[in-house]
Amino acid sequence: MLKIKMPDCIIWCFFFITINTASFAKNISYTNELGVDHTMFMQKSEVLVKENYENNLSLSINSKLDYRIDSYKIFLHGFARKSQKDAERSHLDIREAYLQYISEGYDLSIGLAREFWGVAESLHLVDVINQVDNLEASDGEDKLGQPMIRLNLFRDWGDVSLYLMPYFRQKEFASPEKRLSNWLPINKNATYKNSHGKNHLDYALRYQNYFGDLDIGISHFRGINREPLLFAENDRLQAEYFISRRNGIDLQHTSESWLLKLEVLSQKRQSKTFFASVAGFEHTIYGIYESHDLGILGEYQYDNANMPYLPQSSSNNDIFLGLRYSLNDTNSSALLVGALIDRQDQTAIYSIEAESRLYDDCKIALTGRFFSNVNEKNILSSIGKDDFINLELITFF
Amino acid sequence: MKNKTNQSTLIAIVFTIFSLISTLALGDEKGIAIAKETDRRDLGWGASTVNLKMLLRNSNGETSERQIRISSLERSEKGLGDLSLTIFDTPGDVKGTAFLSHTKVFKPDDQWLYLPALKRVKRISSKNKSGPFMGSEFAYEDLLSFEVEKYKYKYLKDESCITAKSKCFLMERIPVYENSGYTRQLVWIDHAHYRVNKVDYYDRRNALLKTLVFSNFKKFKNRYWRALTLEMTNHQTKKSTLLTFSKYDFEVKLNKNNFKPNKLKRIR
Repeated sequence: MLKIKMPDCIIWCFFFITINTASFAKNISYTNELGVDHTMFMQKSEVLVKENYENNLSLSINSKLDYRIDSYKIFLHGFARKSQKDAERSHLDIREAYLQYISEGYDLSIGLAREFWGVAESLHLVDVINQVDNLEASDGEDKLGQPMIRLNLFRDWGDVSLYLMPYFRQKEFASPEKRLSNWLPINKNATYKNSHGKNHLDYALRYQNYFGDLDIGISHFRGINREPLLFAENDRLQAEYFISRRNGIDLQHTSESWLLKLEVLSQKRQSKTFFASVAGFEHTIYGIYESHDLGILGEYQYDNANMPYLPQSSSNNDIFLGLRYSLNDTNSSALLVGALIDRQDQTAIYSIEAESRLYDDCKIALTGRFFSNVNEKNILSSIGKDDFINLELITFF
Repeated sequence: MKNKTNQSTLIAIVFTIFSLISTLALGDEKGIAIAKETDRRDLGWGASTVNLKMLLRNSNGETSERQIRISSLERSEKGLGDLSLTIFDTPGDVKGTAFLSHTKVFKPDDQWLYLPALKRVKRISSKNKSGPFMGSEFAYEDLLSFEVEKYKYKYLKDESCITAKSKCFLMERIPVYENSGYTRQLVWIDHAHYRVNKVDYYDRRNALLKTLVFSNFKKFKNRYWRALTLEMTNHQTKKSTLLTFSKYDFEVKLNKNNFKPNKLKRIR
């Protein structure tokens, strides 16, 4: 992760120009997305050092290139954000840059790549390969590219993926003066509980298949835990990364208009086993009004949390309820409202996401998050007054 | 002796009832024969890829365009429909999104969606047969492969065709699969090649909802006819959708392994 400085700008411009000039060649497909967004914060924060700005304007760009020659594929995806009030969130990242060899029964990739595992909507429990891009203050679905060698095998009895990850990318934290950040600044030098530090060789294995209405995934990971332990030390936070061993299962049963989902994770640390799960459903009522669909989502997040040697979890006994309304119109307009409620301390996050196409290559999106009843002991306590509404305009070219 | 007569009468009655039921189940004989012949003439096409442009027009005449690529593989096992993979190229926000369908004749199809922004393959419900495809005037069920067993048939009369030069059979077909948005359809099929020329769709209130016209027919592999232009007009909303197919390729080599959900992650 890089802060935007002049040399970085040059690198990025070079990347952008490469992608777009290369696009004139054959076998190449490219996409650029340019987004302008405005965030409104609705309350003053209680964190003393916080700059209580109410508005923030930001600009983002994604450039993607897909180049094929015979059985080879090169994929590049660069990302940049420039934020008006929040210099720390201005950053660049290479989301993906890999070379892939594609054969019928397998493919082999080398480079930075992204991966998604799992079935649940409110929590991505078994998903582990990539570090989240914590400077993108969204729902944790923005991820940093992970250096890896990946082998995917496609067999009649199921698909197997093997990952070797020789380099770890640590989580970035915005400073406490900024909105949606921690109480304390983070110490830039994270500590590692293994002798190779960031260069520890992580590995992962995943099996995936479907049997009739059932989709199943089984995964194993051994390597640096993506989420660090955080300790307060001399008015700073110290991040500590440790080696973890994770086993996960994800299941989805699909029949008629019901999707039933389950993710289970077990993790061993210092001879104690940590269990976590998220279970839920998605039921869709098709054509509730003309051709509009209404989806009802419910998920329950559980873990035997507050284990002494694991990062604090915010999903130990939480309920998520959501409604998704899709108009199925020419502009693909859709609305999602949700509530995530901690059953122990009643801390709640309400969210709204709406989107529609303005014309063929331009989209408008509205995102809102509202924190209510935030308990001072809850992991969300430092952002309890950072309720916001974000309006974004994205063009594709 | 008397017993035997009774027995044979009984057998005859049972037989008549059975044949009546089976006729009732699929409709009248001529209707079924036309449907079966339509189906038979399209057997054995194997695999194909095609590019599709969708032009959506609203009641004010404003248009919106989508570019799609479709790969299909025929499955001949009983009860199984075709395999199809649909990849969206435009509009920009859905570029790279892919829709995989393993269709079945009687059971619900298996369907997966690939969301490239998250690199996520998601199994989805296939119940929504009558919903609009990509905001167009085509419902999902209008685009599914034709299977004889999906309808009951009734031959009505011969009429001149709207696009083909020959006469057309006009027949009524009633969907017997679940979750259809239609009570019935009127179908015009030409005498010369058994190609569907036109379909009138009647909604759940039995009012005329849409008309689909097939034109610009082209023969592939010396045998299989495909309409390169399809126009669906919605009479109730005055909206329409024009489909234009191009670059049909029937020589393409595809097998069922190309249609695995996990392979959606590496499509282009």
